[in-house]
Amino acid sequence: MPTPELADLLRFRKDAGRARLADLIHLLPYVDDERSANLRVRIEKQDSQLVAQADGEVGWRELEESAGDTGRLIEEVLALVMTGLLREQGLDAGVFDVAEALLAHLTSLAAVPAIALGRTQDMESIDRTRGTVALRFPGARVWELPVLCHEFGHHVTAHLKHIEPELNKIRPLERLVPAKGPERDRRHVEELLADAVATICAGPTYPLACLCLRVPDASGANRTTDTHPSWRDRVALMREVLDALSARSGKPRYRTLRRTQVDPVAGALLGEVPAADARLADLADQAVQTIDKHCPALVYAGADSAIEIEKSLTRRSAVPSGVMPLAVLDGAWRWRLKHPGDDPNSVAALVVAYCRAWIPGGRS
Amino acid sequence: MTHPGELLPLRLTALEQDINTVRAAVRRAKLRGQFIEKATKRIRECTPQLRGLRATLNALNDAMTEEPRIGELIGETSFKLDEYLRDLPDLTKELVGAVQDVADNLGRAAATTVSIDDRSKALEASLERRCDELSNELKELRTKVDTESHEKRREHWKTYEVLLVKARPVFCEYVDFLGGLTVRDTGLDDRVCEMTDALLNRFVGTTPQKSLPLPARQAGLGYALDSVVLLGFPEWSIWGIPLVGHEIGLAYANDQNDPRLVELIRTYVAKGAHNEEYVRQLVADAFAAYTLGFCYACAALLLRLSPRHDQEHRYDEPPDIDRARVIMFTLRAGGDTAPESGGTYSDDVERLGEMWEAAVRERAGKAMADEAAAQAAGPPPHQDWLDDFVREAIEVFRGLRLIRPFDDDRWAGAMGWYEALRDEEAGPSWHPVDDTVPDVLTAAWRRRLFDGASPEELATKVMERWTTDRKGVSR
Repeated sequence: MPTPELADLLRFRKDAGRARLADLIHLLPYVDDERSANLRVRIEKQDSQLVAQADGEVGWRELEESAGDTGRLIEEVLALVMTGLLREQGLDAGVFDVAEALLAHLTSLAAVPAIALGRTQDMESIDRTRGTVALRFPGARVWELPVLCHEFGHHVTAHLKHIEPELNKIRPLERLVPAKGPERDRRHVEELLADAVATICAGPTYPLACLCLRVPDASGANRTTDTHPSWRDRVALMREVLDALSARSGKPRYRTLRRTQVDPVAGALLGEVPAADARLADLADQAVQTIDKHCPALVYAGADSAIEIEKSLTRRSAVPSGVMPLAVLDGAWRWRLKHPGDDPNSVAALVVAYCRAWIPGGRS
Repeated sequence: MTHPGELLPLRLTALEQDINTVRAAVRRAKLRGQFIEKATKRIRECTPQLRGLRATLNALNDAMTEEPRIGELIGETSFKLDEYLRDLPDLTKELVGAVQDVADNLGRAAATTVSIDDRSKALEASLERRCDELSNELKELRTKVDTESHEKRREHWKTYEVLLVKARPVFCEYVDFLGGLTVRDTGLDDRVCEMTDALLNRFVGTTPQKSLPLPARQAGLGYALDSVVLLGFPEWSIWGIPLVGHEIGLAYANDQNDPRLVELIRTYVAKGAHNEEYVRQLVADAFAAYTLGFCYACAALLLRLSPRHDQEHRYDEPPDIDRARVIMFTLRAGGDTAPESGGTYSDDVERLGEMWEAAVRERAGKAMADEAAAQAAGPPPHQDWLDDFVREAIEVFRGLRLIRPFDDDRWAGAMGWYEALRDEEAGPSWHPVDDTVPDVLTAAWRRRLFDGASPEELATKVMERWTTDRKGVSR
């Protein structure tokens, strides 16, 4: 048997890499058409790069680099495929449909590029390069959905245009992130801005969902990381945003709900209600002003509908028509906070049905 | 310069309207009996026409019975038989129209007349009781005057003066009663009492008798006449109607038939330097806010209560800023019997609170504004007894089916009426009227406060709807 040369071994590796890409192509039918076409182009481009790779030492280096690229491409496709399969089989109980519709509604209101929904077994996240938001699964329930607004917040920060057409290259929210200074501070402001946008879009439902499902207890809430400020600061900011919304709109409702709903939950979890310092208060105020000026449609205004939804859920009424998902989620959380001892699954399916009734062409 | 939502301009407007109403008193007095006068006038106008018709018909009748006469009549150009026959249908139609006018005017006259038949026994009984008390004391005094020596005359005079003081309210009430009835009968109250009457159906069972609302100089409960509720001028308008809730609440508190309420009042008398009358006034405010909601709060805070923070403390009467606080606590109490918070209801309640606080600050002046606002806001919760009082009072109210809260359904009804008034469209049904009246009044207050609607025009439109839209609704 002849001894293979290094070039042959390199070719074996390339063939293996190409096989992985070929398998990916076979998975594309399980991804929606819009994404599928773009992914095919990227897979084929990756394959072409593999084929064109040099021999010798350069070739081995290039192979290593492309392996990384291929790995990320595989992760992305598998996430989308998994999402598609889960939805097709109904394993998500309709939650992914609602999540997708919610994101589509928000991106449409903000006139920013659409974002696709994927799944993750970790926390919710956004891939800004690829424009995808991952929803945690297993465990995705309607109660988690307001948390997606945080990922939307990142997306909007990057893409929201100035209201004046001739200034539409300016990203007014992005300007609130300091251009200079330590990287850690910058990332913290990005996270706080995402929280601010989420609170503006979803009202008190966002801080309530965070407090009930994400924020750790008092000791954990003080921890900061290189990428994220403490939850204590984040909750303080959300409170300030609600007050700023009342001040800006002249409608006391946001402040009322902050006082009557958010603060009691925050106090119960954290031992005391976190107060914002001047920096957080200023950021909250600026975020509200910016959204109100450049995209007022994003400001949450569905409280009256949410009140009706809470009553409908209590009565287990038939699906009401035309209520937007954020108002449904607000109503759902109002129901949950009023009935903390009840089985949430008893209304979760109804909440999904209410949300689906709003989706164009959706069924209850 | 004024700011939107400021209380003082609102009160000045109300005062101006009241002065104009008083200014027009004589003119309005001439309107007494207007419907009967119109009916009489119409009868006078059509009397000659009736006579003429009678003559024509007689002539035709004669002609019918004498055949030769017909020929003569046809030949006689002076008789103008053809003209009579041609004009007869129109004349008949005109007369029928005139009779209808008379009937309509007499109907309107009857409609504004308030019947006290169903209440007369109770009214007579309570009046008899009060007069008997006075008569008995008078008899005692007369006996003493007749039998005791002149040296005791000074004492007798003093007793007489005390008796006079006791009798004064009965005499005033006599004048108010007859005067109030006359004002109602003639429609000079713009039928506000009629609407108040319908609203009082909401409180049936809360007090032993259904109350009779009458316009009077001052608001209050009847002294000699138990079931009379006096609507004080200048609140004889739709804006002041909700204030009757306070008087009903006071009657309920005074009745002392509810042991839980009696216990509540006793408990809170013990908590401060005040008496039962003081606490009953606060019960009345909580009751009115609980049953009539936002419209009561608007009427009380924006028309009646003084924003003074430095009212002299009285043992038997709470300061207005504390009354306002009780009312706002009640609106904000939440729970199953209140409209849900966090939406339009919350917005409106908070805006009302902001208006009140601004008025308190302005009234106090810059130097004392913060102190005044702090007093109006009350002490911190752990030191404040009013918040606990309201909570417990609401629990008492909730325990009684007869006490109907201003809840989510009422708020939804009010929103429906608000849209109808705003868009000048047909409103929801007036039935049941005792639920609809607070809905309509709430809607009207919202239009006035938040849309800047003219109070006079809006009041006129509401009363027009009250008069014309409620066909088939039993009263």
